[in-house]
Amino acid sequence: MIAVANLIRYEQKHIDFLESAYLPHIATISLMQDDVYCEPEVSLGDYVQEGQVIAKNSAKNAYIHSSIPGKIIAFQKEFMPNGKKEKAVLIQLEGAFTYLGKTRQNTQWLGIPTSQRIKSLYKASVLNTFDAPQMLASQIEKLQNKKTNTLALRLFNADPSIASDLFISQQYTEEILEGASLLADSINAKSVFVLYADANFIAPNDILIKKLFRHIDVYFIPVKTQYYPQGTLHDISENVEHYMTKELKKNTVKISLAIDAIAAFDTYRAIVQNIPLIERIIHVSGNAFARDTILKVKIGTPIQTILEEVGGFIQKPAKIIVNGLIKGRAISNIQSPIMSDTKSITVLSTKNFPDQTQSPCIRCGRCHQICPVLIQPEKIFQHRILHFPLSDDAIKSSKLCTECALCNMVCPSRLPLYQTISLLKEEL
Amino acid sequence: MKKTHRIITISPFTYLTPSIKNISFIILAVLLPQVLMLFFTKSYKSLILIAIAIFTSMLTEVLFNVFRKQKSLFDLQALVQGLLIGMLIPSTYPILPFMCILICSLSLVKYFFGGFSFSWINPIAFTLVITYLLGFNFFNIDLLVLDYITVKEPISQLLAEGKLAALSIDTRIIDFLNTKLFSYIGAEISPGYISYMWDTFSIIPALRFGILTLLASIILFSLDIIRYYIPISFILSYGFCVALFPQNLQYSIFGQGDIIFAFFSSGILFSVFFILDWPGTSPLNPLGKILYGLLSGIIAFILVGSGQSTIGLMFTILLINILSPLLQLFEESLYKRKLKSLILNKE
Repeated sequence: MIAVANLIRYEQKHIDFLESAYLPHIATISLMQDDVYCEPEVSLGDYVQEGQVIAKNSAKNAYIHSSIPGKIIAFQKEFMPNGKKEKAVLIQLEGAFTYLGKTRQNTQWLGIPTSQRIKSLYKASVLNTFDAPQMLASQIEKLQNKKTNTLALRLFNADPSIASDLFISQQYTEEILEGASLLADSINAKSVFVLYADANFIAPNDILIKKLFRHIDVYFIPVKTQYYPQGTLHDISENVEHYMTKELKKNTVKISLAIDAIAAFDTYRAIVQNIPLIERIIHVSGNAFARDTILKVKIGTPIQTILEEVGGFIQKPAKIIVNGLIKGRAISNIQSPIMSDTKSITVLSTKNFPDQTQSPCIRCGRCHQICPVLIQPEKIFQHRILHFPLSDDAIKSSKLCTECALCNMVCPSRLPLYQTISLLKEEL
Repeated sequence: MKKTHRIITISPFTYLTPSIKNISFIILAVLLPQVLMLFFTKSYKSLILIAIAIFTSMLTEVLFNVFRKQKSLFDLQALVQGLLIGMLIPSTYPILPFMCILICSLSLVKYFFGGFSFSWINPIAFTLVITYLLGFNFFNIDLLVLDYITVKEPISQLLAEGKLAALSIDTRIIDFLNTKLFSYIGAEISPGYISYMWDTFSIIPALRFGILTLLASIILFSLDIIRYYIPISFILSYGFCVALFPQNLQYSIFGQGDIIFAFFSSGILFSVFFILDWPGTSPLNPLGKILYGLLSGIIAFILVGSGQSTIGLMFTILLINILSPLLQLFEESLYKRKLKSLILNKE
């Protein structure tokens, strides 16, 4: 494990409150969701409501909503933060809001059957961003056949350069726990493990826990988030196993579904408040900024608008990185919009930007030494890219990879090791 | 096997080690004081040889890349390689033959063993061994001859004969070390060591500035550019052998060899920190690296003794390079067993 202080070399500033970002004059909403293309339900010149379904793919249960009320002004290909140029709908802000500024009546979800909840989650487009974004409803659907399940809720970000999950878990603890209890109930979970950042969480009182989870066993497990990695499924399972066997002297259990705080929060909003996924809570940070901010942003808002709102740069920016320093992506177009899986925007200054020049592997062995699951990333890389011979067991070992990216971080040749292993994993 | 069409992008945006380009820059920066010292001590012949070594190394690299149709023609690592070779060549070595030997041996390594990090033979050691074999007379004319190693208190003898210039602060530092450090272990060192570590006045630049080499190694260790496994295990095994079997047995007793003198006499530290763990030539895992270091230390003691050979360590490196694939096979067989249990656990 590596101290986070060695990974994040700039000061991470304390954030006190959630700010609402400026509303976008024009929202750019991608027609792709979870790699599924959705057919537009609206035409050029149509007026749409906030939260209205503007595109869908009935076969895949994928829905896309308008994040703002307004007029459809174009359908065109736009650069997205994921690096792809995707077909998008451009909506010009106009008219009254359906959800923004309105008080919502909470729905009592206990009486809603699971099939209906799954349908609502599909309709609200709730994503599980615990790891690579996936439709939460489809994950729950797959667990319906199992008699008993377990749910793990992570209240911090796997990437220590992002603080959005940690922040909302402090601000909306009750809502997140209710979202988790709803999901636990939907998958017939016997136990729920809530993993929280050691120093930053005040556990709610027992009465609330009993009220929310009733017959489900809930375990609050502290995690030393000052070290990396702690947030992958492998780490979460190890933490749970350690807690169950060492602390409680009980048998360990396999985690059926792992979610992050934002997925639990979105579930709460979708089912209890009937609000589809139209906004994101985003952590804006980096040493090019004077301050760190947590913003509530409408999906489709151009990143440029957010950067201007945060107050511009205090140092010359080198790159704008979406979704964290570890597994994020540098965007090529500042007009790229916020998407449903965006969690953070980090801007690093040219002064602190690392050298990423790729060179051939120097066989230093650092990736072997740092790998927490003891695989040999360099050998798998050479096999996949340069077709070096490798034993079947070594190829199979790629399945053990947790994609923590530590191998990349120690690679002086700057090779895309974990990405290649992930590719091989998919191909196996 | 199904094929996917995913875009692989460069990430992360935070690293725990410097890139190869930056490592090369840092190595050049930590070696710069030694080059400057050569200039201040008017060792112009050495500087010319270093310049030629750098030029030739880079020329070979460019030609190799042109023939292989590589995108990038220039590699900073070639500059580092040239500088290190230049630092290990005696200033008396004739320029033209040196240049020809360098071009031939570096090309041989590149074409027969592969480019940087692909060659299992250390190109620097290989080049220096060829240079030595074709002109061994130039390596043997040096201050560090067997006579001095085998006498009692060689440093004092060198000082007495005026072959070593005593620094004015030498006595003060030695007194301080004797009272504050060595007295606790019942040892004492005689004056002259600091002067010796500062500049041995050797005709081979790498053998001269021991203190600068030590300082450079501290920087490289602290920036995680050099990993501890190989240098530390080498120092332990070599130091242990030197201490246990002193060369001047008529004066010293078994177990009281002069470790400091041995380390600073034949460029041992310089070669261990900068050359022994050359990319591609050493095992990849900690156990293999430790065995590699320990074995190199023992071989070095057999070939170099307590610092009697200026080229012995290059032969040591070539020998351990030959043994390295065996160590890697051993590593691999251990790993295969571990891997089986890891996969079984997962399944």
